[in-house]
Amino acid sequence: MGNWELRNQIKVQRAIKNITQEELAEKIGVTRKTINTIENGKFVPSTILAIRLARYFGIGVEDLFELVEK
Amino acid sequence: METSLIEKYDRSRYNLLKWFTIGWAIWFGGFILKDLIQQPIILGIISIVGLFGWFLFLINLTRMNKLGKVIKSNEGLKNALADELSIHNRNKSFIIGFWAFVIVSSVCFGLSIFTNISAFIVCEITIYFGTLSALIASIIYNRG
Repeated sequence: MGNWELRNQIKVQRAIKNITQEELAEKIGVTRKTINTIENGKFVPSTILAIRLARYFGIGVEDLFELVEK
Repeated sequence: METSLIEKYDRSRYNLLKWFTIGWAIWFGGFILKDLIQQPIILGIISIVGLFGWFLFLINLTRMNKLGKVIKSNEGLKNALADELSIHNRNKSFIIGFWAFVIVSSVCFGLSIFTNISAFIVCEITIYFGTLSALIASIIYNRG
């Protein structure tokens, strides 16, 4: 997305909670592919989904996602 | 680990889409070829293969409808399978289908300047490639 890159801590947070992508997808109500593509930085989630993910992990959105200039 | 319901239906949907696309490609491809080829032996082979494609297409169309009804009956499942990535991929596939449609019809238009092409064949070819490219794009975007 232009000169910006959205990095995330989903993998780290999943490891802390000890859950798989599939389990996280089920909790959030999306497919595993969605979690996988967000985690790998291939897909930028909507604000709603980003907030829902952050809420699930009990952290702020900016702790879960970081916008970095390339 | 037990596969979640969302994952199970997502995989089923993906597999059905693959077989549906193969069925469509064989059936409609044969349908077009039978208008372009005159040799009886080749026509016979195309008809048999086309019939197989038609069955494959029809079976998977029915299975997709059944799967769609099951998904629609479960609100959580329906929302999960129509999540934002699925919608994003579907939109991208439609765009590819649109451009394939434009390119194929433009090529046919270009050819029509030099030779006579039946409007029926042009319609068949544009429908075939427009639909097939959108389906293949959907398979590629939704894999994994």
